[in-house]
Amino acid sequence: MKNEIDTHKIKELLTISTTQLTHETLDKLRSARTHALNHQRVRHSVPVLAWLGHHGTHNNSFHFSKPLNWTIAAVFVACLISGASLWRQYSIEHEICDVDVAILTDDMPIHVYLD
Amino acid sequence: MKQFRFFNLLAVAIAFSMLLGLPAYAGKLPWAMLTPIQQEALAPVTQEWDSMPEKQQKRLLATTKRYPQFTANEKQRFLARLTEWSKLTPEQRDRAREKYKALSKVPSDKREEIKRMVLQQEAEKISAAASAVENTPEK
Repeated sequence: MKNEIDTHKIKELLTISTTQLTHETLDKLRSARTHALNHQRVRHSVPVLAWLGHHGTHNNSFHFSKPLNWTIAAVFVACLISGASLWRQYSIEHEICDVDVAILTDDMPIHVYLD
Repeated sequence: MKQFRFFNLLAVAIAFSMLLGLPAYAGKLPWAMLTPIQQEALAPVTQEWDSMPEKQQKRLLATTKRYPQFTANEKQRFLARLTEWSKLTPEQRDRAREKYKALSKVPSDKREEIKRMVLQQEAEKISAAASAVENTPEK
């Protein structure tokens, strides 16, 4: 009697037995695989700003393209600059308004402040 | 890829609209569009209003926000000086502002002394002008 079974036969046996699995078992296996993959994705989380320099390496994960990242960064900087510029302009105009009101309502006549 | 291109274009459009659109957020305001309080405060410059530069309009409108809080005396001065103020050139107004700020930095006791002197000179000028009118022989 020959008890030795080679690896090809083991593969064949496994393939045949897989086709004989019930739907219920297949569903359980599928859900276990999904659960494992989800768990793995959590472990692979990266630092907050690491996405800015690393792109396209994880095709199946949620990553933006490099140009979009830089565009978003540019928009952010543009918003900051615009905001700072507007705030500066607002402060200047507010100060001018204070002075104008004072000149127009003060005891001193306007010509005192002129040449 | 198409989705990324769309977002890129959208982001660039937003950036440009912010950079180019913000300075032009308002234009000249016609007299008819002013509120009754603004019209009351700016009554002395009614005729000139529509031809005034946008910047000057905005600055005058900014002053009218405080008009309702003025005392009767302040309102009177404001209205009396507005015509003269609006006839000055932008450079003259800037110089006047600088002088006002410089005077504000002077210690209060000295500032009061300067004010007293100026007001005294004003009173003397007015009385001299009045006496000159009185002494003018009638033809």
